[in-house]
Amino acid sequence: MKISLRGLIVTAMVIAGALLAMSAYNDIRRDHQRMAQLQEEINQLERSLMITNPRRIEILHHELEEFASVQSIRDQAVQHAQLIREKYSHVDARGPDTFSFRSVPSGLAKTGMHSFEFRLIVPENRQIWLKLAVHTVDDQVASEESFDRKTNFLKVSSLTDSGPFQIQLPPGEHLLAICEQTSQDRWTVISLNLGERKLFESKYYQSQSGISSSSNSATEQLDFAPDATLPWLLTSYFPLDPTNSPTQTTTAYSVWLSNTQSEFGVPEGRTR
Amino acid sequence: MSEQSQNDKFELDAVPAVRITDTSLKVGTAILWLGCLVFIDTLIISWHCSQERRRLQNELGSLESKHAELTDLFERRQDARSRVQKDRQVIEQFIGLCRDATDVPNWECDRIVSSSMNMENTAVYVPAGQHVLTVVARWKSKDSATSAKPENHQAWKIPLLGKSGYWFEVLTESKNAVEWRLSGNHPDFRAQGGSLPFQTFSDRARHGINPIKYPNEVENTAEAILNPLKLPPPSVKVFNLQFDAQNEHRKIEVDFDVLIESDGPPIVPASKAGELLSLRNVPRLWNVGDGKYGWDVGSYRKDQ
Repeated sequence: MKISLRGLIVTAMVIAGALLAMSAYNDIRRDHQRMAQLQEEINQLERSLMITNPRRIEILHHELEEFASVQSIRDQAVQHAQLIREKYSHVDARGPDTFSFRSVPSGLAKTGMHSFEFRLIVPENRQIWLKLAVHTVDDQVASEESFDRKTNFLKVSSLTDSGPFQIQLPPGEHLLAICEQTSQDRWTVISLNLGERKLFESKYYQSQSGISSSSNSATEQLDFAPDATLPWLLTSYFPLDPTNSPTQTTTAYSVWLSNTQSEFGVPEGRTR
Repeated sequence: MSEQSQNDKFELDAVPAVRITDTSLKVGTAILWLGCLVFIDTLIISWHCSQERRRLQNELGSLESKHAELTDLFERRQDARSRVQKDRQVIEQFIGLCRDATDVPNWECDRIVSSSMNMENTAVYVPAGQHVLTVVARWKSKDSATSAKPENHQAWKIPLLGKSGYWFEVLTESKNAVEWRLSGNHPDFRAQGGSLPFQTFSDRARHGINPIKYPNEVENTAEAILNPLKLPPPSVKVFNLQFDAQNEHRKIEVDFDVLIESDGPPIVPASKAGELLSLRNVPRLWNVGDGKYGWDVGSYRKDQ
Protein backbone atom coordinates (compact mmCIF):
# COMPACT_ATOMS: atom_id res chain seq x y z
CA MET A 1 0.00 0.00 0.00
CA LYS A 2 1.31 3.37 -1.02
CA ILE A 3 0.99 6.16 1.53
CA SER A 4 1.48 9.56 0.07
CA LEU A 5 3.17 12.40 1.91
CA ARG A 6 0.16 14.61 1.35
CA GLY A 7 -2.08 11.95 2.83
CA LEU A 8 0.15 11.79 5.84
CA ILE A 9 0.12 15.57 6.24
CA VAL A 10 -3.65 15.70 5.92
CA THR A 11 -4.14 12.88 8.39
CA ALA A 12 -1.75 14.50 10.86
CA MET A 13 -3.51 17.86 10.49
CA VAL A 14 -6.95 16.36 10.97
CA ILE A 15 -5.80 14.35 13.99
CA ALA A 16 -4.05 17.39 15.46
CA GLY A 17 -7.13 19.52 14.85
CA ALA A 18 -9.40 16.87 16.33
CA LEU A 19 -7.19 16.53 19.39
CA LEU A 20 -7.12 20.28 19.80
CA ALA A 21 -10.89 20.54 19.52
CA MET A 22 -11.40 17.57 21.88
CA SER A 23 -9.06 19.04 24.40
CA ALA A 24 -10.83 22.41 24.24
CA TYR A 25 -14.22 20.67 24.53
CA ASN A 26 -13.01 18.67 27.56
CA ASP A 27 -11.69 21.83 29.18
CA ILE A 28 -15.05 23.53 28.67
CA ARG A 29 -16.90 20.50 30.01
CA ARG A 30 -14.60 20.42 33.05
CA ASP A 31 -15.17 24.14 33.61
CA HIS A 32 -18.93 23.62 33.39
CA GLN A 33 -18.72 20.77 35.91
CA ARG A 34 -16.61 22.86 38.26
CA MET A 35 -19.05 25.76 37.89
CA ALA A 36 -22.01 23.51 38.62
CA GLN A 37 -20.19 22.10 41.67
CA LEU A 38 -19.26 25.57 42.93
CA GLN A 39 -22.81 26.82 42.37
CA GLU A 40 -24.19 23.87 44.33
CA GLU A 41 -21.77 24.53 47.19
CA ILE A 42 -22.61 28.24 47.11
CA ASN A 43 -26.33 27.36 47.28
CA GLN A 44 -25.66 25.09 50.26
CA LEU A 45 -23.64 27.79 52.02
CA GLU A 46 -26.35 30.34 51.31
CA ARG A 47 -28.96 27.98 52.74
CA SER A 48 -26.82 27.37 55.85
CA LEU A 49 -26.28 31.08 56.31
CA MET A 50 -29.94 31.72 55.47
CA ILE A 51 -29.03 34.41 52.98
CA THR A 52 -32.47 35.09 51.62
CA ASN A 53 -32.13 38.82 51.86
CA PRO A 54 -29.18 41.03 50.84
CA ARG A 55 -29.30 42.57 54.35
CA ARG A 56 -28.57 39.16 55.75
CA ILE A 57 -24.87 39.38 54.76
CA GLU A 58 -24.60 42.72 56.57
CA ILE A 59 -26.31 41.20 59.63
CA LEU A 60 -23.92 38.22 59.58
CA HIS A 61 -20.94 40.58 59.73
CA HIS A 62 -22.56 42.45 62.64
CA GLU A 63 -23.20 39.09 64.32
CA LEU A 64 -19.43 38.49 64.29
CA GLU A 65 -18.97 41.90 65.95
CA GLU A 66 -21.52 40.90 68.60
CA PHE A 67 -19.67 37.66 69.35
CA ALA A 68 -16.28 39.42 69.38
CA SER A 69 -17.53 41.79 72.09
CA VAL A 70 -18.65 38.78 74.20
CA GLN A 71 -15.12 37.39 73.87
CA SER A 72 -13.72 40.71 75.10
CA ILE A 73 -15.99 40.54 78.20
CA ARG A 74 -14.86 36.96 78.78
CA ASP A 75 -11.17 37.97 78.60
CA GLN A 76 -11.78 40.70 81.18
CA ALA A 77 -13.63 38.19 83.40
CA VAL A 78 -10.72 35.74 83.26
CA GLN A 79 -8.28 38.49 84.35
CA HIS A 80 -10.55 39.67 87.14
CA ALA A 81 -11.26 36.13 88.39
CA GLN A 82 -7.65 35.85 89.49
CA LEU A 83 -7.97 39.09 91.53
CA ILE A 84 -11.12 37.80 93.25
CA ARG A 85 -9.40 34.51 94.02
CA GLU A 86 -6.46 36.31 95.63
CA LYS A 87 -8.84 38.59 97.57
CA TYR A 88 -10.67 35.65 99.20
CA SER A 89 -7.77 33.25 99.63
CA HIS A 90 -6.11 34.70 102.69
CA VAL A 91 -6.35 33.00 106.10
CA ASP A 92 -4.64 34.26 109.30
CA ALA A 93 -3.10 31.83 111.80
CA ARG A 94 -4.83 32.10 115.23
CA GLY A 95 -2.41 30.16 117.42
CA PRO A 96 -1.06 26.63 117.90
CA ASP A 97 -4.46 25.14 118.91
CA THR A 98 -6.84 26.81 116.48
CA PHE A 99 -7.85 25.29 113.17
CA SER A 100 -8.74 27.97 110.58
CA PHE A 101 -10.72 27.46 107.43
CA ARG A 102 -12.18 29.35 104.48
CA SER A 103 -13.67 28.41 101.12
CA VAL A 104 -11.76 29.93 98.20
CA PRO A 105 -13.38 30.96 94.88
CA SER A 106 -12.15 28.20 92.63
CA GLY A 107 -11.46 30.35 89.59
CA LEU A 108 -12.79 29.65 86.15
CA ALA A 109 -12.80 25.91 85.68
CA LYS A 110 -12.35 24.19 82.36
CA THR A 111 -15.35 22.66 80.59
CA GLY A 112 -16.53 19.54 82.43
CA MET A 113 -14.54 20.45 85.54
CA HIS A 114 -15.95 21.30 88.95
CA SER A 115 -13.54 22.37 91.62
CA PHE A 116 -14.11 23.14 95.31
CA GLU A 117 -11.20 24.73 97.11
CA PHE A 118 -10.56 25.43 100.78
CA ARG A 119 -7.71 27.22 102.56
CA LEU A 120 -6.83 25.49 105.83
CA ILE A 121 -4.42 26.19 108.68
CA VAL A 122 -3.76 22.95 110.55
CA PRO A 123 -2.36 23.79 114.03
CA GLU A 124 0.77 22.12 115.43
CA ASN A 125 -0.91 20.79 118.57
CA ARG A 126 -3.90 19.05 117.02
CA GLN A 127 -4.67 16.04 114.89
CA ILE A 128 -6.96 16.96 111.99
CA TRP A 129 -8.46 14.17 109.90
CA LEU A 130 -9.81 14.54 106.38
CA LYS A 131 -12.47 11.91 105.70
CA LEU A 132 -14.36 10.69 102.65
CA ALA A 133 -17.21 8.17 102.53
CA VAL A 134 -20.02 7.03 100.26
CA HIS A 135 -23.57 6.91 101.62
CA THR A 136 -27.18 6.90 100.50
CA VAL A 137 -28.80 10.26 99.82
CA ASP A 138 -31.22 9.71 102.70
CA ASP A 139 -28.29 10.19 105.09
CA GLN A 140 -28.07 13.96 105.03
CA VAL A 141 -24.99 15.43 106.61
CA ALA A 142 -26.42 16.52 109.95
CA SER A 143 -22.99 17.11 111.44
CA GLU A 144 -19.53 15.68 110.96
CA GLU A 145 -19.73 14.17 114.44
CA SER A 146 -22.76 12.11 113.49
CA PHE A 147 -20.95 11.13 110.31
CA ASP A 148 -17.96 10.02 112.33
CA ARG A 149 -20.24 7.70 114.29
CA LYS A 150 -21.97 6.24 111.24
CA THR A 151 -21.27 2.61 110.51
CA ASN A 152 -23.38 1.98 107.41
CA PHE A 153 -21.24 3.66 104.77
CA LEU A 154 -21.37 2.00 101.36
CA LYS A 155 -18.15 0.14 100.66
CA VAL A 156 -19.29 -0.79 97.16
CA SER A 157 -20.84 1.76 94.80
CA SER A 158 -20.35 2.94 91.24
CA LEU A 159 -17.24 4.73 92.53
CA THR A 160 -14.26 2.54 91.68
CA ASP A 161 -12.88 3.18 95.18
CA SER A 162 -15.60 3.87 97.73
CA GLY A 163 -13.69 4.02 101.00
CA PRO A 164 -14.46 5.12 103.67
CA PHE A 165 -11.06 6.77 103.95
CA GLN A 166 -9.29 9.10 106.34
CA ILE A 167 -6.05 11.01 106.01
CA GLN A 168 -4.33 12.94 108.77
CA LEU A 169 -3.48 16.42 107.52
CA PRO A 170 0.05 17.68 108.23
CA PRO A 171 0.43 20.91 110.25
CA GLY A 172 0.71 24.14 108.30
CA GLU A 173 -1.26 26.18 105.78
CA HIS A 174 -2.74 24.21 102.88
CA LEU A 175 -4.97 24.59 99.86
CA LEU A 176 -7.31 21.61 99.73
CA ALA A 177 -8.95 21.08 96.32
CA ILE A 178 -11.72 18.59 95.56
CA CYS A 179 -12.02 18.26 91.78
CA GLU A 180 -14.56 16.49 89.62
CA GLN A 181 -13.55 16.20 85.98
CA THR A 182 -16.01 14.65 83.54
CA SER A 183 -14.49 13.52 80.26
CA GLN A 184 -16.11 12.98 76.87
CA ASP A 185 -16.48 9.25 77.60
CA ARG A 186 -18.74 10.09 80.61
CA TRP A 187 -16.28 9.01 83.29
CA THR A 188 -16.06 11.47 86.16
CA VAL A 189 -12.76 11.45 88.01
CA ILE A 190 -12.83 12.67 91.62
CA SER A 191 -9.57 13.79 93.12
CA LEU A 192 -8.54 15.31 96.45
CA ASN A 193 -5.37 17.37 96.34
CA LEU A 194 -3.49 19.05 99.16
CA GLY A 195 -1.43 21.67 97.36
CA GLU A 196 0.49 19.74 94.72
CA ARG A 197 0.03 16.38 96.47
CA LYS A 198 -2.72 14.05 95.32
CA LEU A 199 -4.37 12.45 98.38
CA PHE A 200 -7.03 10.36 96.71
CA GLU A 201 -8.50 9.56 93.30
CA SER A 202 -11.54 7.57 92.27
CA LYS A 203 -14.00 7.63 89.39
CA TYR A 204 -17.51 6.67 88.35
CA TYR A 205 -19.38 6.25 85.08
CA GLN A 206 -22.62 8.02 84.31
CA SER A 207 -24.44 7.67 81.01
CA GLN A 208 -25.91 11.18 81.23
CA SER A 209 -24.18 14.44 81.91
CA GLY A 210 -24.83 16.61 84.96
CA ILE A 211 -23.44 16.80 88.46
CA SER A 212 -25.29 17.88 91.56
CA SER A 213 -23.40 18.82 94.67
CA SER A 214 -23.44 21.12 97.66
CA SER A 215 -20.38 22.50 99.35
CA ASN A 216 -19.38 24.54 102.37
CA SER A 217 -19.40 28.18 101.26
CA ALA A 218 -17.68 29.83 104.21
CA THR A 219 -16.81 33.12 102.53
CA GLU A 220 -15.13 34.47 105.69
CA GLN A 221 -12.43 32.82 107.76
CA LEU A 222 -13.82 30.43 110.39
CA ASP A 223 -11.73 29.47 113.44
CA PHE A 224 -12.22 26.27 115.42
CA ALA A 225 -11.00 25.86 119.00
CA PRO A 226 -9.92 22.32 120.06
CA ASP A 227 -13.39 21.49 121.40
CA ALA A 228 -15.27 22.82 118.35
CA THR A 229 -16.73 20.53 115.73
CA LEU A 230 -14.83 20.78 112.44
CA PRO A 231 -16.60 21.64 109.19
CA TRP A 232 -18.24 19.47 106.59
CA LEU A 233 -16.82 20.33 103.14
CA LEU A 234 -18.77 18.71 100.32
CA THR A 235 -21.53 16.29 99.38
CA SER A 236 -21.69 15.28 95.74
CA TYR A 237 -24.38 13.05 94.29
CA PHE A 238 -23.85 10.30 91.75
CA PRO A 239 -26.09 7.50 90.44
CA LEU A 240 -25.86 3.99 91.86
CA ASP A 241 -26.98 2.76 88.45
CA PRO A 242 -24.85 4.43 85.74
CA THR A 243 -27.79 4.47 83.29
CA ASN A 244 -29.92 6.62 85.61
CA SER A 245 -30.21 10.33 85.04
CA PRO A 246 -28.47 12.69 87.50
CA THR A 247 -31.87 13.48 89.04
CA GLN A 248 -32.33 9.83 89.98
CA THR A 249 -29.24 9.70 92.15
CA THR A 250 -29.48 7.53 95.21
CA THR A 251 -25.89 7.75 96.41
CA ALA A 252 -23.47 10.51 97.30
CA TYR A 253 -19.99 10.88 98.63
CA SER A 254 -19.17 13.36 101.38
CA VAL A 255 -15.90 14.93 102.46
CA TRP A 256 -15.54 16.36 105.96
CA LEU A 257 -12.96 17.23 108.59
CA SER A 258 -12.79 15.72 112.03
CA ASN A 259 -10.86 15.97 115.30
CA THR A 260 -11.09 12.25 115.89
CA GLN A 261 -9.73 9.22 114.15
CA SER A 262 -12.24 6.64 112.85
CA GLU A 263 -11.89 3.01 111.90
CA PHE A 264 -11.56 4.03 108.25
CA GLY A 265 -8.92 2.84 105.85
CA VAL A 266 -6.34 4.95 104.06
CA PRO A 267 -6.43 5.55 100.31
CA GLU A 268 -4.37 3.17 98.19
CA GLY A 269 -0.70 4.10 98.04
CA ARG A 270 -0.80 6.05 101.33
CA THR A 271 0.15 5.00 104.86
CA ARG A 272 -1.70 6.04 107.94
CA MET B 1 2.53 -6.95 -37.32
CA SER B 2 2.62 -8.78 -34.19
CA GLU B 3 5.21 -6.32 -32.91
CA GLN B 4 3.03 -3.38 -33.96
CA SER B 5 -0.04 -4.91 -32.49
CA GLN B 6 1.96 -5.44 -29.38
CA ASN B 7 2.90 -1.70 -29.38
CA ASP B 8 -0.77 -0.77 -29.95
CA LYS B 9 -1.66 -2.95 -27.12
CA PHE B 10 0.96 -1.27 -24.99
CA GLU B 11 -0.39 2.20 -25.91
CA LEU B 12 -3.90 1.04 -25.28
CA ASP B 13 -2.79 -0.31 -21.99
CA ALA B 14 -0.79 2.85 -21.11
CA VAL B 15 -3.65 5.35 -21.58
CA PRO B 16 -5.90 4.13 -18.77
CA ALA B 17 -2.85 4.07 -16.43
CA VAL B 18 -2.22 7.79 -17.05
CA ARG B 19 -5.93 8.61 -16.44
CA ILE B 20 -5.95 6.79 -13.12
CA THR B 21 -2.95 8.79 -11.89
CA ASP B 22 -4.71 12.12 -12.71
CA THR B 23 -7.85 11.13 -10.85
CA SER B 24 -5.82 10.06 -7.84
CA LEU B 25 -4.06 13.36 -8.00
CA LYS B 26 -7.33 15.25 -8.03
CA VAL B 27 -8.77 13.13 -5.26
CA GLY B 28 -5.56 13.50 -3.29
CA THR B 29 -5.60 17.26 -3.81
CA ALA B 30 -9.25 17.39 -2.83
CA ILE B 31 -8.56 15.37 0.28
CA LEU B 32 -5.66 17.66 1.04
CA TRP B 33 -7.90 20.72 0.70
CA LEU B 34 -10.61 19.03 2.66
CA GLY B 35 -8.06 18.17 5.31
CA CYS B 36 -6.90 21.75 5.34
CA LEU B 37 -10.46 22.95 5.64
CA VAL B 38 -11.13 20.49 8.46
CA PHE B 39 -7.94 21.61 10.12
CA ILE B 40 -8.86 25.28 9.73
CA ASP B 41 -12.33 24.52 11.05
CA THR B 42 -10.90 22.78 14.05
CA LEU B 43 -8.59 25.73 14.56
CA ILE B 44 -11.57 28.07 14.42
CA ILE B 45 -13.51 25.80 16.78
CA SER B 46 -10.51 25.69 19.10
CA TRP B 47 -10.27 29.46 19.01
CA HIS B 48 -13.96 29.77 19.84
CA CYS B 49 -13.49 27.20 22.57
CA SER B 50 -10.60 29.18 24.00
CA GLN B 51 -12.75 32.34 23.91
CA GLU B 52 -15.57 30.46 25.60
CA ARG B 53 -13.09 29.10 28.16
CA ARG B 54 -11.78 32.55 28.86
CA ARG B 55 -15.36 33.65 29.55
CA LEU B 56 -15.96 30.57 31.69
CA GLN B 57 -12.70 31.17 33.56
CA ASN B 58 -13.89 34.69 34.38
CA GLU B 59 -17.22 33.31 35.61
CA LEU B 60 -15.40 30.57 37.52
CA GLY B 61 -13.12 33.17 39.08
CA SER B 62 -16.05 35.22 40.34
CA LEU B 63 -17.84 32.05 41.56
CA GLU B 64 -14.67 30.90 43.33
CA SER B 65 -14.22 34.24 45.03
CA LYS B 66 -17.90 34.22 46.11
CA HIS B 67 -17.48 30.63 47.32
CA ALA B 68 -14.32 31.56 49.25
CA GLU B 69 -16.05 34.57 50.79
CA LEU B 70 -19.09 32.53 51.87
CA THR B 71 -16.91 29.66 53.15
CA ASP B 72 -14.86 32.12 55.19
CA LEU B 73 -18.02 33.76 56.58
CA PHE B 74 -19.55 30.35 57.33
CA GLU B 75 -16.42 29.08 59.13
CA ARG B 76 -15.94 32.30 61.09
CA ARG B 77 -19.59 32.19 62.11
CA GLN B 78 -19.39 28.52 63.14
CA ASP B 79 -16.23 29.19 65.18
CA ALA B 80 -17.70 32.31 66.74
CA ARG B 81 -21.00 30.57 67.58
CA SER B 82 -19.31 27.64 69.30
CA ARG B 83 -16.87 29.97 71.09
CA VAL B 84 -19.59 32.36 72.29
CA GLN B 85 -21.33 29.54 74.18
CA LYS B 86 -18.11 28.81 76.09
CA ASP B 87 -17.52 32.53 76.62
CA ARG B 88 -20.99 32.90 78.15
CA GLN B 89 -20.32 29.95 80.49
CA VAL B 90 -17.04 31.52 81.63
CA ILE B 91 -18.75 34.87 82.26
CA GLU B 92 -21.53 33.10 84.17
CA GLN B 93 -18.93 31.25 86.27
CA PHE B 94 -17.16 34.52 86.93
CA ILE B 95 -20.37 36.16 88.23
CA GLY B 96 -20.68 33.14 90.54
CA LEU B 97 -17.27 34.02 92.06
CA CYS B 98 -18.36 37.55 93.07
CA ARG B 99 -19.31 37.94 96.72
CA ASP B 100 -20.24 41.62 96.87
CA ALA B 101 -20.51 44.73 94.69
CA THR B 102 -16.80 45.51 94.99
CA ASP B 103 -16.02 42.26 93.16
CA VAL B 104 -17.89 43.42 90.04
CA PRO B 105 -15.33 44.86 87.59
CA ASN B 106 -16.04 47.98 85.59
CA TRP B 107 -16.10 46.16 82.31
CA GLU B 108 -15.17 47.90 79.09
CA CYS B 109 -18.38 46.89 77.35
CA ASP B 110 -21.83 48.07 76.38
CA ARG B 111 -23.70 45.13 77.93
CA ILE B 112 -25.56 44.46 81.13
CA VAL B 113 -23.77 41.50 82.74
CA SER B 114 -25.58 39.45 85.38
CA SER B 115 -26.20 35.86 86.30
CA SER B 116 -28.59 34.19 88.63
CA MET B 117 -26.38 31.23 89.56
CA ASN B 118 -28.11 30.83 92.90
CA MET B 119 -31.40 31.86 94.44
CA GLU B 120 -30.03 34.31 96.98
CA ASN B 121 -27.99 36.87 95.08
CA THR B 122 -26.55 38.12 91.84
CA ALA B 123 -23.87 40.52 90.68
CA VAL B 124 -24.95 43.02 88.02
CA TYR B 125 -22.89 45.34 85.83
CA VAL B 126 -24.56 48.19 83.92
CA PRO B 127 -22.72 50.07 81.16
CA ALA B 128 -22.64 53.83 80.61
CA GLY B 129 -26.09 55.37 80.14
CA GLN B 130 -29.25 55.89 82.15
CA HIS B 131 -30.73 52.87 83.84
CA VAL B 132 -33.50 52.23 86.36
CA LEU B 133 -33.63 49.00 88.33
CA THR B 134 -37.12 47.74 89.13
CA VAL B 135 -37.77 45.20 91.87
CA VAL B 136 -41.23 43.77 91.48
CA ALA B 137 -43.07 41.09 93.45
CA ARG B 138 -46.39 39.74 92.23
CA TRP B 139 -48.36 37.33 94.35
CA LYS B 140 -51.64 35.51 94.49
CA SER B 141 -53.31 33.07 96.80
CA LYS B 142 -52.41 29.41 96.23
CA ASP B 143 -56.14 28.66 96.40
CA SER B 144 -56.68 30.76 93.31
CA ALA B 145 -53.88 29.01 91.44
CA THR B 146 -56.13 28.57 88.44
CA SER B 147 -56.33 32.31 88.00
CA ALA B 148 -53.50 33.55 85.82
CA LYS B 149 -53.61 37.13 87.11
CA PRO B 150 -51.71 38.07 90.27
CA GLU B 151 -53.88 39.48 93.03
CA ASN B 152 -51.37 41.92 94.32
CA HIS B 153 -48.01 43.38 93.57
CA GLN B 154 -45.39 45.68 95.02
CA ALA B 155 -42.62 47.42 93.09
CA TRP B 156 -39.58 49.60 93.77
CA LYS B 157 -37.72 51.71 91.22
CA ILE B 158 -34.08 52.63 91.85
CA PRO B 159 -32.08 54.84 89.44
CA LEU B 160 -28.65 53.32 88.81
CA LEU B 161 -25.38 55.02 88.00
CA GLY B 162 -23.92 53.89 84.67
CA LYS B 163 -20.61 52.06 84.30
CA SER B 164 -20.95 50.53 87.79
CA GLY B 165 -21.31 47.18 89.47
CA TYR B 166 -24.12 46.18 91.85
CA TRP B 167 -24.89 43.34 94.23
CA PHE B 168 -28.50 42.29 94.66
CA GLU B 169 -29.43 39.84 97.39
CA VAL B 170 -32.56 38.32 98.88
CA LEU B 171 -32.39 37.85 102.65
CA THR B 172 -34.53 35.14 104.10
CA GLU B 173 -33.26 34.97 107.69
CA SER B 174 -36.07 37.18 108.97
CA LYS B 175 -39.11 35.11 109.84
CA ASN B 176 -41.54 37.96 109.34
CA ALA B 177 -40.48 39.27 105.96
CA VAL B 178 -38.59 38.53 102.81
CA GLU B 179 -36.06 41.31 102.41
CA TRP B 180 -33.98 42.43 99.47
CA ARG B 181 -30.90 44.66 99.41
CA LEU B 182 -29.03 46.41 96.60
CA SER B 183 -25.51 47.78 97.02
CA GLY B 184 -23.19 49.28 94.43
CA ASN B 185 -19.47 49.75 93.84
CA HIS B 186 -19.85 53.42 92.85
CA PRO B 187 -18.96 55.75 95.75
CA ASP B 188 -22.03 57.92 95.02
CA PHE B 189 -24.49 55.04 95.14
CA ARG B 190 -26.22 54.46 98.48
CA ALA B 191 -27.32 50.90 99.32
CA GLN B 192 -31.08 50.40 99.24
CA GLY B 193 -33.47 47.73 100.34
CA GLY B 194 -37.05 46.74 100.91
CA SER B 195 -39.15 44.01 102.44
CA LEU B 196 -42.17 41.99 101.46
CA PRO B 197 -44.73 41.03 104.11
CA PHE B 198 -44.27 37.29 103.80
CA GLN B 199 -43.63 35.05 106.75
CA THR B 200 -41.98 31.95 105.40
CA PHE B 201 -41.21 30.61 102.06
CA SER B 202 -40.33 27.36 100.40
CA ASP B 203 -40.34 25.42 97.09
CA ARG B 204 -38.18 27.91 95.35
CA ALA B 205 -37.49 27.87 91.63
CA ARG B 206 -35.91 30.16 89.10
CA HIS B 207 -35.64 30.54 85.35
CA GLY B 208 -32.28 30.58 83.62
CA ILE B 209 -31.13 34.05 82.69
CA ASN B 210 -28.88 35.02 79.80
CA PRO B 211 -25.77 36.46 81.51
CA ILE B 212 -24.95 39.08 78.87
CA LYS B 213 -27.56 41.40 77.44
CA TYR B 214 -27.62 44.69 75.63
CA PRO B 215 -29.59 47.34 77.55
CA ASN B 216 -33.25 47.04 76.50
CA GLU B 217 -32.52 43.82 74.61
CA VAL B 218 -35.71 42.14 73.40
CA GLU B 219 -35.07 38.76 74.97
CA ASN B 220 -38.04 36.88 73.56
CA THR B 221 -38.07 37.94 69.91
CA ALA B 222 -40.57 35.19 69.03
CA GLU B 223 -43.10 36.54 71.51
CA ALA B 224 -42.39 40.11 70.41
CA ILE B 225 -43.05 39.10 66.81
CA LEU B 226 -46.28 37.32 67.71
CA ASN B 227 -47.60 40.04 70.00
CA PRO B 228 -45.94 43.33 69.03
CA LEU B 229 -48.92 45.21 70.41
CA LYS B 230 -48.47 43.66 73.85
CA LEU B 231 -44.76 44.41 74.20
CA PRO B 232 -43.96 45.78 77.64
CA PRO B 233 -41.61 48.78 77.92
CA PRO B 234 -38.12 47.60 76.93
CA SER B 235 -36.14 46.15 79.84
CA VAL B 236 -33.92 43.18 80.69
CA LYS B 237 -34.37 40.71 83.54
CA VAL B 238 -31.36 40.23 85.82
CA PHE B 239 -32.84 38.18 88.66
CA ASN B 240 -35.84 35.93 89.03
CA LEU B 241 -37.21 33.87 91.89
CA GLN B 242 -40.46 32.04 92.39
CA PHE B 243 -41.49 30.88 95.83
CA ASP B 244 -44.34 29.87 98.08
CA ALA B 245 -44.93 32.02 101.12
CA GLN B 246 -47.37 32.63 103.89
CA ASN B 247 -49.11 35.96 104.24
CA GLU B 248 -51.54 36.37 107.19
CA HIS B 249 -52.12 32.59 107.40
CA ARG B 250 -52.80 32.48 103.69
CA LYS B 251 -50.58 30.46 101.39
CA ILE B 252 -49.44 32.48 98.44
CA GLU B 253 -47.34 32.07 95.30
CA VAL B 254 -44.81 34.82 94.64
CA ASP B 255 -43.05 35.83 91.42
CA PHE B 256 -40.07 38.01 92.25
CA ASP B 257 -38.26 39.77 89.38
CA VAL B 258 -35.51 42.34 89.07
CA LEU B 259 -35.48 44.26 85.79
CA ILE B 260 -33.39 47.05 84.34
CA GLU B 261 -34.93 49.65 82.04
CA SER B 262 -32.47 51.76 80.08
CA ASP B 263 -32.70 54.80 77.85
CA GLY B 264 -32.85 54.13 74.13
CA PRO B 265 -34.93 51.92 71.83
CA PRO B 266 -35.58 48.19 72.14
CA ILE B 267 -32.47 46.40 70.95
CA VAL B 268 -32.20 43.26 68.84
CA PRO B 269 -28.78 41.56 68.79
CA ALA B 270 -27.46 40.85 65.29
CA SER B 271 -27.65 37.11 66.04
CA LYS B 272 -31.44 37.45 66.36
CA ALA B 273 -32.01 40.12 63.71
CA GLY B 274 -31.97 37.53 60.90
CA GLU B 275 -35.16 35.93 62.27
CA LEU B 276 -37.00 39.23 61.95
CA LEU B 277 -35.99 39.60 58.31
CA SER B 278 -37.90 36.46 57.40
CA LEU B 279 -41.18 38.01 58.53
CA ARG B 280 -43.78 38.98 55.98
CA ASN B 281 -44.00 42.40 57.52
CA VAL B 282 -40.32 43.10 58.16
CA PRO B 283 -39.86 45.35 61.21
CA ARG B 284 -37.72 48.45 60.85
CA LEU B 285 -34.26 47.71 62.19
CA TRP B 286 -31.33 50.04 62.06
CA ASN B 287 -27.72 49.28 62.90
CA VAL B 288 -26.64 51.02 66.09
CA GLY B 289 -23.12 49.54 66.06
CA ASP B 290 -21.28 46.83 68.01
CA GLY B 291 -23.43 44.00 66.70
CA LYS B 292 -26.86 45.36 67.60
CA TYR B 293 -29.91 46.85 65.91
CA GLY B 294 -32.49 49.30 67.14
CA TRP B 295 -36.07 48.12 66.65
CA ASP B 296 -38.62 50.72 65.72
CA VAL B 297 -41.46 48.97 67.54
CA GLY B 298 -43.71 52.04 67.15
CA SER B 299 -43.64 51.87 63.38
CA TYR B 300 -44.08 48.11 63.54
CA ARG B 301 -47.22 48.58 65.63
CA LYS B 302 -48.60 51.10 63.14
CA ASP B 303 -47.87 48.76 60.22
CA GLN B 304 -49.90 45.93 61.78
